[in-house]
Amino acid sequence: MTSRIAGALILSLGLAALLSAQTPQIVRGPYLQLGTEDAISIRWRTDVATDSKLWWGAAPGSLLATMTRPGSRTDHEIRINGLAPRTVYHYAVGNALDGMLAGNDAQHRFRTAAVPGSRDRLRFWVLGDSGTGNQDARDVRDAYYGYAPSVPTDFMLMLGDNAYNDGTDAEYQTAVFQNMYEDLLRQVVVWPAYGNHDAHSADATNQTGPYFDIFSLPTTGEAGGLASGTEAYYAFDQGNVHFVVLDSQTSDRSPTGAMATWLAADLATTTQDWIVAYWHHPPFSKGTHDSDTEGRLIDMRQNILPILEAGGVDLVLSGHSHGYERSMLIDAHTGLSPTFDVNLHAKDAGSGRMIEAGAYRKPAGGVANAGEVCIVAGSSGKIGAGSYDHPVMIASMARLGSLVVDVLDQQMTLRFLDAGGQIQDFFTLVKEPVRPTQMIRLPVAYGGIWKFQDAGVDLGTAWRAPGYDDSSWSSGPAPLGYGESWVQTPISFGANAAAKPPTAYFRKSFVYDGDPQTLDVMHLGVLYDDGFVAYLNGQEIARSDSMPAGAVSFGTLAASHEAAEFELFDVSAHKALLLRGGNLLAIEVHQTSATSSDLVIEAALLTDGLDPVMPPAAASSVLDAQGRVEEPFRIQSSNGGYARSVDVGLGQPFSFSMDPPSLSGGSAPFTIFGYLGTPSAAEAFPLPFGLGPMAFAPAFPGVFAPQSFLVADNFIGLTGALAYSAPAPWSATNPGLNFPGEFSFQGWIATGPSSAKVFNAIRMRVLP
Amino acid sequence: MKTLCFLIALLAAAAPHGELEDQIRELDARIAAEPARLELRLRRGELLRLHGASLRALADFDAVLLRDPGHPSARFFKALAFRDMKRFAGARRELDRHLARGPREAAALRLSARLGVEMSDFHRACADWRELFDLDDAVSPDDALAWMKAARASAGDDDRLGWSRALGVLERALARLGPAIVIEIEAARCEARLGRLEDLDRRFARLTAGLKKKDWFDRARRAILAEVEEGNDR
Repeated sequence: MTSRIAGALILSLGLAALLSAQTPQIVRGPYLQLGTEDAISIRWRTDVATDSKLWWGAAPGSLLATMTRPGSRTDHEIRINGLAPRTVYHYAVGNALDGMLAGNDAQHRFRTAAVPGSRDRLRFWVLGDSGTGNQDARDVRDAYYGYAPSVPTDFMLMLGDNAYNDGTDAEYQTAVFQNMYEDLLRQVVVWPAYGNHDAHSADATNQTGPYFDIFSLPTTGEAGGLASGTEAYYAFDQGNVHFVVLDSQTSDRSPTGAMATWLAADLATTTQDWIVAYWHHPPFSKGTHDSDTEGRLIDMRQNILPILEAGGVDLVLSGHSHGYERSMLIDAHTGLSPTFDVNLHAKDAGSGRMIEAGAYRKPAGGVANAGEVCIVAGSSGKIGAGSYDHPVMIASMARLGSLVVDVLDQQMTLRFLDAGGQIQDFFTLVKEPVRPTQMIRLPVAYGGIWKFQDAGVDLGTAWRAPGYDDSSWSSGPAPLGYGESWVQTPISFGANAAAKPPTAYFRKSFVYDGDPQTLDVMHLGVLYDDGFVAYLNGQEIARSDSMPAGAVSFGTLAASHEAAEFELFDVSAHKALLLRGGNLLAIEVHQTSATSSDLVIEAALLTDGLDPVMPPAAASSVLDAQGRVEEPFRIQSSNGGYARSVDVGLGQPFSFSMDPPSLSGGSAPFTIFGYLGTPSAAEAFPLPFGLGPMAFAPAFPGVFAPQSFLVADNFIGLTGALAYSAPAPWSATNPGLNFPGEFSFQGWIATGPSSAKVFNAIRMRVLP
Repeated sequence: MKTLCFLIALLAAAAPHGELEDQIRELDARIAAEPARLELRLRRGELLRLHGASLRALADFDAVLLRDPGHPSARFFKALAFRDMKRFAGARRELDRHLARGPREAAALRLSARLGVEMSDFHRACADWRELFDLDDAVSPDDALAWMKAARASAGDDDRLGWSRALGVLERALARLGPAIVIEIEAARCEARLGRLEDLDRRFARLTAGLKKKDWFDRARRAILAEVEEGNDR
């Protein structure tokens, strides 16, 4: 009997061990495909063939919905429908016998796409020629993962050559799925284009081979746009953006071919605000490939680009050349590079940067031939030599990196993020006229005056409350801190540089006279080093990723974080905290260590609108002969001197002056932002406040001219270039404004394609 | 061998890394060291062909066939190289020998159909396209348009028969590809040429159902009808 039991036990254990040994392992994914506002495909690969089962639901631990596909396979795909738009779902994958093999945790989740046409904020990440599977590709990846992680990624684009050298399944494994992008791919959909290296192992004519096996792509218009009938080229919608993905490798590239005919029809029927097109071979490049001599590049420029331009395309992305090249706003240039005529082919020959000559502006409504920006971004895995001198390009460089694209309603901002985490190029496209709903309000403007406590004392938590007495605190304009030459208000870190206080406190009282109930969005823009926690009227609204979770105290240390550029934190969930009337924004800034050399804080609160006009990441202040920050912008204060911030009464005359910056010639970009108040009636001002007599010539050309300062909304956020030829001090007295409000003025001088010098910001309040 | 595509993939997996020229140079060295490895020579030949060096590519393919006259894919690649050189008769000879020896896979049938058109053998081209569309392999709108043109041409001077055959091809393609817009437009053009205007109107009504912007389709419809008008005038 005993031996029989023992035998059964051994048999059971053996069977269990056998079953255990046979438990399938997930060797690829899960990854997401064909995501729309109400459906998504989830794919994964197992090492042995099984049936397929998917669980999904609102949260880990409650994945109540399931779907099973009978039959055995190693490459699994389940598509679920009937999902809610813009909604986060968690999921798990496995099979009927073994149950869940992966998921049911915080990492396995996705958010469905926004309803086509909706104007929610979108962020997407663009990789070109990323398929090396090496450390260079991982550096590019890590730079993106470290870049503003508080803004969620909505989806990814891949511009072709996604797996070197031949696009085999094994190469895709190491270049995409394993120790590469798997963390992001289980949360966002990737929409790929077909590159020449992908074509080594795949065939677009019959859509076979690894590229077509791995990706599930639309053919019948199921993700938006018209049916292409092939996965080689297709369309999809995300929010208010229409994407067309073309095949520059194999499909007929003639102007009367199937792809061109489909493209023309598709573009003509979209009603989306934005049109983005991408494919592998660039229409313009002087990088590692030459668009003057290579057939596919010429075909796409001569045959396909005109169709896109007629269809109102805004942005053209491509790879193939292993560098970064970015054009000005161009149109109708189909010839060789020497035939490019800036007067003929450039809709806007500027940089497209708000801080320089201003954003590229286009009419809304898909207007034909209004200009597009063409970008070669084929350096996400490797770089190579070339002349990098194509005349359409504003920026050209052989540098590893990727593109970060943010779309908010009628504004699109693109940044080229290099493998070191630095923004090497950026620009903005704006559709006009700007909708009123898109306008910025700045309850707390950049450069504002903040109170601060830098004595290195533990204030507990009481200081966060609006009623806290901060009358003894010091004050000064932002940015505040130490250790950076460009801070406007130095604060103390005590006598011992090796024992700096871990925390400094900042408070900003402000009046909000809008209706908080009508707000759609609220963002906190923060320039910080090293970590911060922000409170609105005593309640936490934002915390940097560099801070630990949970309660923070005076001694809490942050992870290292440099103040490279303003980062936007979506605090819309806390908009109910904003009150009509008096409010308090409080921020505690934490050091990474007692020996850290620098601490910085500057913040603005923005509602209902566009990204703020931001100083450049690499900007440095202009210093005068005494090493002081130049302050060419001044307001005559009531006590006779000049002030960084002045208050005037309604209708009270004030003087605004400007000493031309001590730079020779060139362009003086000028930015005005921040208007708060309700004018008694719409009033038109020349920009800004009668600068007409100023010694600039011409006065406010280009984008400023048509945008007279119509004060009919609670908004100002304009920028333009002042070309000055006869620098001379200028001042004018304004008869006064008859509405309450707060303005900030700031200036920049462009000193290179990606650098600028920042001048002081000033503030003026018109008090009721 | 399921398809030539997978064979190409297999060869590709054996290839060294680097750009095209670098790969060819590396293959030169490997072939010198391992002259008996035919897949290396085949791979180099295909890379040379893709690089535009068709004569050198042919030399590699011939070298493979010299060592293995029954090689499963060398003649297909050789046919590709001949076609690149516009030597269509040579391409046809090699391709027919390739097709005669085994499964009739999509890549070879597509090449055969295209050769048929290029050699004005439209009946052969149509037969190849038909066989291709009967396979499980995916087909593309480009395939459908090429087959449609061959079908029209196969009717010779009988214009009506040509448009009728073309419409038949396009309906077959729509059944395979779904409502691909370029196929739908061509089908509408055939219907107009055949005087089936009610069918044409129904097709456009279906295509534009739910669209907010229909201008492009309106223009396309007018253009198709204008073409017919001009054709009638002639």
